[in-house]
Amino acid sequence: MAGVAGAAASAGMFPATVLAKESNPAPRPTTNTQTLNGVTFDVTFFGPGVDPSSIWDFNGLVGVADVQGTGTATNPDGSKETLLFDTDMRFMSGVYVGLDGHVHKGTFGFV
Amino acid sequence: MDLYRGQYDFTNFTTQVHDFDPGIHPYPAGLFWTQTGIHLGGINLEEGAAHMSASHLPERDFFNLPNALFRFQTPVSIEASASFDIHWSGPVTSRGSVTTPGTSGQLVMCQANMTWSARNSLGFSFVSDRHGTTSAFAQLGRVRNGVFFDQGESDNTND
Repeated sequence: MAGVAGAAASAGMFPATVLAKESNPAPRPTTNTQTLNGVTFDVTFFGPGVDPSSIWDFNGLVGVADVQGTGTATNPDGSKETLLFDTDMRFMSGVYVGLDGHVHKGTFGFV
Repeated sequence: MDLYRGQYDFTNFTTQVHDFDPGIHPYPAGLFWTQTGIHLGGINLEEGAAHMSASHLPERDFFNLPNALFRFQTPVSIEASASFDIHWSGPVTSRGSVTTPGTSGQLVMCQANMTWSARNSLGFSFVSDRHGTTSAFAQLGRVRNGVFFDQGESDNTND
């Protein structure tokens, strides 16, 4: 089903957005993988020229923000301290083929 | 969203004390740290601008990246939540094509700043400082992968 819908959309038979449903079935994980300590994860690191999407069969807008800084932590005992933070925040917004094989519109965050 | 005490250790993560993410579903070969519930606005690829936010997003605290990936601590994670506000802004410093196999598209490099907060079920909480953040990497773009991959676009943009 996904192949049919995707191929048709890619061939210009109809805009994918016309077919897209407004619900959010789970998307497919990216087929790009990283193997660490013998365990394979469906994820890509970000970088220049790299598709940062964590989902596959996707057509849309993406964003990546790796931001560092400081902040105030409050511990369970009430004590406070300054901690450093580092983030890898991403978004994917557009159309995708869900696990149900249909094309959907959706917005996802990578947190 | 990772927290470190004293200094960063991106090699062994010995100084990392909290790691907030939604997990991997199913583990390990499933959707990686991906969730709904975020809000987007003001996306302008020409200017390198966008806004992304979320309030009280359900997360897990895995405490450190190695445990988030390999799940060796007990408990592996605890309930948590996070809120964030991210702004991408220009100037656009470079533009280029996607080079990942099976993906076509264009990406722009820009800047980002972020404020966020989080808490876990043990009573820990964190609020980031509004000022003094560093944009280590910021990127916006449009991509087509998998069944949406456009070979023609890829060929044209890589000439």
